[in-house]
Amino acid sequence: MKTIHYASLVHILVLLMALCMPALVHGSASIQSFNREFQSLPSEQQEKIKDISRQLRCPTCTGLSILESDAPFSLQMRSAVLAQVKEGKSSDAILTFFTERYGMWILREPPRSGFHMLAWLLPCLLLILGPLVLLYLRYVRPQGSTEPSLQLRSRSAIVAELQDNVRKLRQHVRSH
Amino acid sequence: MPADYGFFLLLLCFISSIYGTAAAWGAGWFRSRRLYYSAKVAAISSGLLAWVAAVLLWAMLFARDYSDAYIFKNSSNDLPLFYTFTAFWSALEGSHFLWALLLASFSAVAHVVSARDNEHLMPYVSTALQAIAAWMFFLAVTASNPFGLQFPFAANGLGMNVLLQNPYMAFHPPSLFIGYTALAIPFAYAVAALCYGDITQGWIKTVRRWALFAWSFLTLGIFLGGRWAYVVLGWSGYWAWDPVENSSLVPWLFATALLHSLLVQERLGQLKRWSLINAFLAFFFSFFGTFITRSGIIGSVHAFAQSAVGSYYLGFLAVLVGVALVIYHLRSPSILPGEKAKVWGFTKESFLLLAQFLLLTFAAIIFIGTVYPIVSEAVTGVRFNIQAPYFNSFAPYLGLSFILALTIGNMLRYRSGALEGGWTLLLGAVVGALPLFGLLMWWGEIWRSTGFALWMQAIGTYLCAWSLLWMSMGQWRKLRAYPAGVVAYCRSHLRSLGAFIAHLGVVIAIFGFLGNYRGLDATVSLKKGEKTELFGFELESQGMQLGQRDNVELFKAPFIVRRNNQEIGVIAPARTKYPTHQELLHEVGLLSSLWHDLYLVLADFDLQGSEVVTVQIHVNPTVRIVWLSAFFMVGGGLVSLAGTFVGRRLTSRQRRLPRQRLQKEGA
Repeated sequence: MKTIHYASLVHILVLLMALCMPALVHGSASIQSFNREFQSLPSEQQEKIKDISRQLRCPTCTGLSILESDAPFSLQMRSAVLAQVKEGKSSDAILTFFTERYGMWILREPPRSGFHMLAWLLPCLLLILGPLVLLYLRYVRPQGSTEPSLQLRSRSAIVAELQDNVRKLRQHVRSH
Repeated sequence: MPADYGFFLLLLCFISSIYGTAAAWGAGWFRSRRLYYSAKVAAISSGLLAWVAAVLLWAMLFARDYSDAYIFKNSSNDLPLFYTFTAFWSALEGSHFLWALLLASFSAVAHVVSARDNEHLMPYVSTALQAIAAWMFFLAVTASNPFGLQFPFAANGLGMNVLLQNPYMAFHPPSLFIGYTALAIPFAYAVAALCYGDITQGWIKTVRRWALFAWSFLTLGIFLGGRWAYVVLGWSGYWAWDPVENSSLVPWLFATALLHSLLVQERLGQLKRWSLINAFLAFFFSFFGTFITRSGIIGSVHAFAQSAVGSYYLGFLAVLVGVALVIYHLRSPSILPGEKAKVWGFTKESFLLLAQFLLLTFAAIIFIGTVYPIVSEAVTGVRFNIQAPYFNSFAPYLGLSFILALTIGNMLRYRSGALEGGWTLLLGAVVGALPLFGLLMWWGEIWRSTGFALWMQAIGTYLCAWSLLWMSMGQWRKLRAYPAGVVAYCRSHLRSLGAFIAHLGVVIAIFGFLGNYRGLDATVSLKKGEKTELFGFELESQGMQLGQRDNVELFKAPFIVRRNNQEIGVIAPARTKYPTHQELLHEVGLLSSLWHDLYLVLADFDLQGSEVVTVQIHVNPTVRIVWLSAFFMVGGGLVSLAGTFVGRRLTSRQRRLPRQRLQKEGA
């Protein structure tokens, strides 16, 4: 399974890309026969097949589900899903069927349990805690110096400070 | 051999960059103007020599000189002229060379153009830029050499990857690379500000110009890539949350965050350190994406051949992060916040900060999702995937938050809680958005959705309608209220006009996104002359047609498309046979209107007998709106960029008096 992750030649990758597209399979008409069988099913079974297919990744493509891809492998998997849905198996049982054979890698996203909760929790935490942190920084821990720094200041501010300094100097001179 | 000259030129660029780095660092350390001039000459000569090498490679490509290994692997005698030109960047070595070329060019330009405004910083800017250029040229002469020797000499090359022989794919890499390399200059200025110890007068202006330039081209590149995926790959989508797509989006998000934090920096003197961090991370992630692609560490559509380049990139990224952290830790205390007291009330500045938060969180989520497979493998031993469903579960909420933050932020004034046009304008927009919302729901056929998706899409559509209306009304109001007239307003407010256009583009894009992909598809098999009907479109099969175009054999399946019994066009999805490739590839049949795309994929065909064709029919709503938004966003960015050059502000007298009086006085 690991070799699928590391592309070894550009042309092999092109081949994989081509496999993601409907392959020209003379005579077997597997897309047609799958389609015919699919159309003959009641609509809630069709929805169930689509739903399960959206959760399984196409093993020979990158980023597509078996529903979106028409690689021969995806087609086989979809036919297997269709057969099992016809038998009346539950979605969980069908997904377990695939993960037992191909490993957890066949799923499109990590399960929401155990270590993998991290992948789901972190974004939620960021979205919720972020504004809280900002509010904390604003109200609980006010920052910012009001004393003049050596940074850029407007001309009028500089002039005002110089005049202030001159006034203080005059006062100092007068009092001594 | 010409390839040897090319290699020698790249070696010279490398040596020149190394010298330039050392000279510039010396110029900063010893405060020597002469050393800086020497470094400047080194930078400019790197750029020029790189261009000579590039012209040489192009000359060899057009002369079909297969003694060069790169040319041998990526072109052939029957490759059309346009694709011979783009073969320069069609594979790993060439695209790396293009990146180095652009970096050296922009570095040379940066030395010349903004130098007078930023005299004190230039030595450090030069050091940073030339160090990066030295690294790029080092790779170009070692692991990623486009001038390698091909022996024995061949009479014909292996040909270009067929998926790249498409005009969108021709322009997507250069545009993206221009964006990535232009981000190096804000990075260099950030490093320079830290080393120098202060953010100087011209810093914001220069960084903003380069950031806008980079942002515009990054946006263009991302949309071009999406368009290519849509018309070539045949899965009826344009964004798969693929790792390399994500790693082009993350620098874009940081570049956007940089543009917005610069605004706060300009007005309040706050968020200075955040600008530096944004600049650094935007640049860092542009290389991180390259690292992912070229090391093969995460499988991706874009993955090139796995090569030693991966470990070089890992080392470079580690050094980059290390050096940046050290410099930041030592020098950031010298970057002081501005003297104005913080005004984080209900003002525009607060919403700019909120925008920072949303953009950075989005970038963090994308980053988590992209690297999670590696992390899960390292920790649990099993490699899990994170594909589109993960990102699509967070993206809608972020999208809606973006619309809200963007709209309210645009309509607030700086330093006060006043809304542009007041509550009356807001009320007008809230009410006026309702008919617009109804129209969008009808034309976009969003009312067809069901359940939770319908709620999300309806809310999103209403917010988009409200946003577009309110922002446009506010802008119109500002235009009309300007005493000196519309033309003068445009001349002195180009920057904010550009921002307005770009923000409109973002809202239009979000509306386009939420209208897509509602599963309106079907697969049918038709004999010649047979008809089928889907969602109001009637398709009549015309059997099969064979054709030829340049070096490609075409198997076309034309369909007559009718709507309400009126013929609206003929589309011909096809399978193509390239001479260098065994399998048949796709040419999608596409009939687009503003609101719908009729997307046909030829799945299977039979040339004999009744010429049965099997097509997948997709009806994709609002896809063209997404492409339309690209024009707004890129256009807005470029208008804003123009606005940073046309800095003519009117005097306060000109702002106060009405236009007629000024004209009478002959102002």
